[in-house]
This record gives sequence, structure tokens and C-alpha cells, in this order.
Amino acid sequence: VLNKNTASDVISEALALGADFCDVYVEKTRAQNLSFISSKVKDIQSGVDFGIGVRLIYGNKALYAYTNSMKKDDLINIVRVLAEQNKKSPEMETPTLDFSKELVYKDILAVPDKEVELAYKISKMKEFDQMTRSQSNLIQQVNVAIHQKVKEVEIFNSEGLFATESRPYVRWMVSAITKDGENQATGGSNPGARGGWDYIESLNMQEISESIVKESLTVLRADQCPAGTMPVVIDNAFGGVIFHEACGHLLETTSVEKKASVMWDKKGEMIAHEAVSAVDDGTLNDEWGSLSIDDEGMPTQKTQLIKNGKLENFLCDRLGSIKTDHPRTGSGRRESYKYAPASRMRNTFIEPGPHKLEDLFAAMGDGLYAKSMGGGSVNPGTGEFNFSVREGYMVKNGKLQNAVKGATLIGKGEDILKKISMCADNFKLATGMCGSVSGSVPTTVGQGAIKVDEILVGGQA
Amino acid sequence: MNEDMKNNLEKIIEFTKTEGATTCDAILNTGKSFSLSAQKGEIDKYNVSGSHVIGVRAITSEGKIGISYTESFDDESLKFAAKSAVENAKNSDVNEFESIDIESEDIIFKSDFQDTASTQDKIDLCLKLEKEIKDRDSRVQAVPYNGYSDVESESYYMNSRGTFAYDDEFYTSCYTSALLHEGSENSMHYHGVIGRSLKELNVEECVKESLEHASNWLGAGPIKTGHYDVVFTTDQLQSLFGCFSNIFSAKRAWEKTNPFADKIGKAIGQSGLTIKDCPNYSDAFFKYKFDSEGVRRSQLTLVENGVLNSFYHNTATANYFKTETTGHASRGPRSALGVGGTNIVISAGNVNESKVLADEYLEIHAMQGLHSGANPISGEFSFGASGYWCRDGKRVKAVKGITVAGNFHHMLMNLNLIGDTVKVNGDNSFFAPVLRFSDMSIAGK
Repeated sequence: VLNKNTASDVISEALALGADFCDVYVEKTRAQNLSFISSKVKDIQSGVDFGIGVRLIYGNKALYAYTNSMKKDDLINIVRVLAEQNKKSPEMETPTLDFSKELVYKDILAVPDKEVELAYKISKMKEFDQMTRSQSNLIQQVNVAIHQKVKEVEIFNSEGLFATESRPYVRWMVSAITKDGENQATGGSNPGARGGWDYIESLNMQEISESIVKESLTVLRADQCPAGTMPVVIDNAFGGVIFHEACGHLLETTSVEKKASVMWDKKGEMIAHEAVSAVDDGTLNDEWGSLSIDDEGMPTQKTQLIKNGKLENFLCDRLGSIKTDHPRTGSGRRESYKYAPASRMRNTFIEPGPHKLEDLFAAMGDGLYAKSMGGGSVNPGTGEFNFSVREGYMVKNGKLQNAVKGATLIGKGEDILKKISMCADNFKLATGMCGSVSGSVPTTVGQGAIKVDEILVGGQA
Repeated sequence: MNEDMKNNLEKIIEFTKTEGATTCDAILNTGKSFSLSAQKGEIDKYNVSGSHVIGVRAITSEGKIGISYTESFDDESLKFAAKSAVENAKNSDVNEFESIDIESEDIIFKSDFQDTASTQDKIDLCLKLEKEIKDRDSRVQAVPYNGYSDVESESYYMNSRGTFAYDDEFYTSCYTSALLHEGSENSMHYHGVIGRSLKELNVEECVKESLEHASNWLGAGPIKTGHYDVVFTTDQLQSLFGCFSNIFSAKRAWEKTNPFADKIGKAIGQSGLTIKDCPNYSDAFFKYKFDSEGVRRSQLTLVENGVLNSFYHNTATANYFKTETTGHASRGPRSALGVGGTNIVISAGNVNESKVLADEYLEIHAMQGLHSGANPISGEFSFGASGYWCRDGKRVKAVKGITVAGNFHHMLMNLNLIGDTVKVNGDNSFFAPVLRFSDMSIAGK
């Protein structure tokens, strides 16, 4: 998209002004969003985002600017504005950058993007709406949405790197609202992938439809969750949000570099129960959080975060590496050209354990079974996290009892990690969007079911 | 106001009509921002940005609607966006309620606010924030979030019936955070302020608030699980109302996701509760002159003496519900037509504030998990929280590691006491007296 000579001139200008490093991130994203509600097409939107981000690094300092212009003069002017406070004589002669060789890497994309007629996509939404409405006369509303985009990125840097990647994303977002008297409840599912329309075709629509109706009806009739400290079994897939919030964010060098993470000095130490091994893997084919290269042009990798309870690695971008001396892990990510890259999670999960889900119930005795989780958040500085339970059940003597709603789980990451005493083998991943300093990025969470020996459950006192 | 931008709007309107739209409108936003953050006595991040986007909404003769946007403003990109909007419309279902009818005189508001501070002034402020935090308390381990920013933006609206509206904004903000460490305990609090210029920013408030609460919560713990009387700070009250703002949305009522859809004219709150949406409230920081359909905004009473008086309407929801638009259309260049509120004002009650704050109660000062712990359909919520155990208006003990749970709809009805003094939140957008809620569920130890 960007003329290579322009990229070279912009970066050369930065180096001539004494920058230690410069990169240029070019993004063009074509997006299409469809929504279907009240059994009608509600909105069809499409558009093109285009912008360029320029970053200069002087020592530990990152200077960042973005623009919608790809004119050489505008970009060089940006470099001059950024360097104004920091410019100095370059320590080395400015190298020649011709960007003639493009970085070669292993592509994680197995399902390429495929053009499909808009009318066909709408017919799939209609079909899902009818399938879902036919399941219960308590259904008040069905929402169906398709989000598709293809993000084309180009990255140039002062080390001579020139890398490009085409990143198609697709997501099928559905929810069913049921109503009985004054009570209303929602069930939903948001599967997604790094891929195109074939992913939608691969989904079992009947199963998704039945699961969201079942969740909605269960919550509609659920009792209020009792409050208190108790053992909790958190099931697979989006249950992995507990690790994402309680630990994952604390291992990003974005927090570690500022000592704004309780884990900043714990590498090599036992930070979790020995039953816990966890990974952040950007290389899984087609997964929602996967990238062939990160937004700094580094091929992504599988990063072992915790092995048998011991902290092995942090998630590290270029600036994080400069500040902490930890090695880069291909984790520099950003929502768009409007953000400088930062260390972020990709596909993050607790590795499966040897147990069956039933073993966890039996070991728990009495407590809460969190079958389906909502989102959560964390304060990395204190490790305090929270997340919500969408569908839960009380457990007595290892047996499932009544459904409960309105539960929130809160605690401190460093405490909870030591209380995850059992991991089951029913491993599954789920998609989500993660918001942090470099915007909202697609991430995957996952695990087999886990047993937490004790956690504070917020609910009805 | 930039005439080139106005020309871009005129072009895309013409291109969209040429593609076959009967009516159309376009929104164009521009933005420039500057931000800094400091760490360990040095500026570690320095960001400059400039961007723009234009979005067009096309309606065909059959009453079908499509939307498209672009960040490139050359003729080819504008034509492509126009064509895409019309193509999207052709594939849509007929929407007999959405139209583009507003014909009015130009609405133009140019603010006087502008950036007069030098870059060095901004750097100095940023460094001062961090230094003040570190100098005042030896337990400070880090100041992880600490910075300054200013934002300049322009909003343009134009439709095919000749309506044109414009306004612009400039504001500054700064923030800091104190991360304290003592023994094995960490405690952190973040505070930010907003202003019209660098000089208006209250650095002392930022530093004092960050340190005070981080210090108070160091070593604090939960209270016993039980039912307690609760008040929320004005900021937290705004957050709570924000989670359930769908109760005022006509669009949600239309889509059957507003649980109060059939409650217009009925009691939804305690008889002393009056809530207004005030776009041009004199004490508010931001003023909202026109909505996303080019309609001039005016005050709207949402709830009067506990009775639901009106929803937020745009022209489409107004057509559906056979009423008038309230001037609350909300649409960005990339999004479909919706509705949204502006500044919220809850009227003062008649109970002396000292009586509202009599005896013992829990003051909620921070909540976590708002995006996931609330069910806007059922009104139920459960959030992580911290605050203070209070007696007769005085904070007597810091509290953290608790959850607060309840049902927002029931809280409105069962609201115990409404204070007689209106207070304002941090960014001057939410005005409310102290509200005391009885019997809230708190989970702790």
C-alpha cells in the first residue's frame, strides 16, 4: 500500500534525527457488519479504515503518531514533530533501506477469506432466527449479527524489516432473550475465527441455537446465587477468562515494566498450584487470537507462561524488552493504526489436566459450578480481579442442584492461582475481545474445567 | 470550520444520490490529539494524532437503508463509499419508519477553546504529577498510569434536504495513579481531571485523591457478608445508571430489549425521583447542540415524581411509537441510527443531607466488572467494590474485597432517601443528590 521509497525516506529521517529505532505500520481494513433483529435485516454497514502509525524510540522513550495521509511530506513532517523534543546527532551512519526483501514466515491461516453474496449471508441469519424462535414460546427476541473484516498490514522498520500480512476475521454473534411475566433473561454465543465465510459454514447452527435458548431459559428460572466464600468449579471454554484476568494481564510487560504487576519480580518462582500449566500461543491455525506476525513484524510463537506452577515467561513486545531485558515473544499487538503496539495476549489457556469434570464435582462436595462465564477485569497493580457467571448451578455432595444467577467471582490473582487444585481433560477454547492500553484486540481464552478450592462469590447475602 | 470538509460532505451526498438513493445524510468527524505519559522522571510516551472519517446513510425509494464509511477522502474513495451504502441498502429489508426528513437552517457552533500551552508546559505538568506522588509517600512503589492529553475535534452533519450542522470541541485532561506497597500488600488508586486548558487542570486534586484512597485501602479488608444501607459516590452512581441506560431507550423498546417498554406513564421509581436529560445544562462540561439527525437539542424529562415520562427518541423511533423526536438521535460515521443521552440531572429531594447520611452505611467509592456484571434486561447486577464504612456522614473504616449486588429496577422503586443537595461527578456530566438505598446485598467475609 505504502510506497517503499516513502517508507525508507520516513525512517531515514527519523534515524537522521537521532532515533534509535523507527517503525511504520500501515493498515487498510475492509469491514462489513450485518445485524438481524425482530426477524428483519436491521443494519448493513461496510467501510474502509486506512491509516499509518509512525513510532520512534529514543532510549526507553516511545514517540507515536498516526495519520490518514500516505503522502511522503506529511509523514516526514510527523517524524519531525515527534522528534522535536529529542532530536540529536545520529550515533551511526544512516543505513540504506530498500525493503526489497519481504519477511517470509509460516502462515497460520488455513481457511482463507472467500467472497459470499450478501443475500446468502442474510438467508443464513433468517434461517437461524426461525430455528431459534421455533424452540420456545417464551422467546421475546433473537439477535443475529455477522462481523467480517480483512485487515491488511504492512510493517517497515529501521532494521530493514518489511513484512505484510492479510488478516481475515469472521464472527457469528447470536443471542436469544426469553420473557416470562416480569422476568427476562438472555443466552448468547459469539464464535469467531481468523478466517473467512467457510468458518461460518463449519458451525453447527442447530447446536448453537439450542444452547443459547437453553441458557436463556435456565437463567430465566434460576434462583439468586447465595453470597459467600466457597469452592467453585469453572467449566471449559470461556471459563478460561479467569486465567486471562487473574494472571494473563499480570504477565504482560506493559504492566511488568512499570512494576505495575504483582508478578514483575516472580520469574522462576512458584506462582500457582503445581496442577497449573499455562500457555499463550499465537501460532494456532485459524484461532481468533492467532497472528502469523505480531504488529511489530515478529513471527508469533508459543510461549509457556507457567509450567507446573512455576512462572516461566512474560509476554513481551519490543519496548517491553528494552525496558525489562526479557526476550520478545511476538506479542506486540494493537487494535489499529491509532495505537502504538503493546504486549498483549493472543490465545491464552490453562493446559488440560488428567481429571474428568465429574471428579471435580466429587472433590468439591458443596459449592458453585460456573458453567458459563461472562467477562471480567483486573487491576494489575494489586492483582484484584472480578468476573461474572452467566449460567451457574449449586452443587451439593458432588451433585448438581438448582440453577443460580447474578454471581460474580472476585479475588486476587496471586491467591487464586494457588487454589486451582484440579484441571479436567475437557479442553475447549472460546473467543473474546480484550481491552487494554493498545485498544481492543481479538483474544482466545480456554481451559478444561478447573476446581478453585475457595473464592468469594458475590450474590444474594 | 474547514470548508474542504464541508465540500467532502457535499460530494458524498451528490455521489450517493447519483447511485440511486432517494435521500441520504452524512456525518464527518475530524480529530487531533496530543498525549504524554511519564515514568521514572522521564517522558516515556509521546503521541500525536490526526484523523478523519466520513460515513453516509442512504435510503432508497423502497425505504431500504444502507451505511458505509471511509477514512480516505479522495473522490474515488467517496464514490466507493456512496456506492457501497446504496448496495447495502438494496440488500436490506424495508424500514418504513426510518427517513431523512429534517430541513432546518444551518446550526453552527464554534467554541473559543484552543491550545495555548507549550509542549514544554505539558511535559512539565506530566513530570510534576509523578514527582508529587512519589515525594509525598515513601510507600509508593510506582506511578503506573500518569499522563496528560488534549483533544481537538470537529463534527459535521449534512443531509440531502440541505440541513447542515457543525460544532467543535477542545479539552485537556490529566491523570495519575499511586501504587503503594507495604508488607505483602499492594493498593492502587487512579484519578483524572478534565479542563478547557492546561491551566484549568487541577493537579493537586489528582495527586491528593490518588494518594488518599490508595493509602486508605492499603491493609483494608472486607466487611461481613450481609444486608446494608448503601450510598454511591456521584461517579459510581453515574456508572450504575450507565449500565442500565437501556431503560430510557426507545430503540431498545422497539427491539424488545428495554424492560420498561410498556411503562410510559407508570411508576418505575420512588415518588420523589425526577430525572432529566439536559444537553445544555449550564454547569455541564460538554454541551450538545444538535443530534445526529441535525435536530436542535433541548431538555427532556425522563422520569417525573417516579413516573416514566419519556424515552430518548430519534425520528425513526418517534415514527414507530407515533410521537415526536426528542432530539436524541445518536449515530457515528461507522454506525447505524440509534438513540443516546447527554447530561443527566437527578433533582434534589427534600431530605436534609445529614439525615440521608445518618447512622451507619456503606459508601461505594469504586466498582469493578461493570461491563460484565450487569444484566440490562433483568436489572440484576453484581460488581466487585471498595469503599468506606461510614457513620453520620464520616468515613470510619476503609473497605475492599467485597461485592455489591442487587436489582437496579427494584432499587429505583425502593429508593430510601433522596438528599436535598445536588452534587456533580468528575467530568461534570452527571448531577445527583445523595441517594440512600436500603438492604443491599454485600458479600465479604
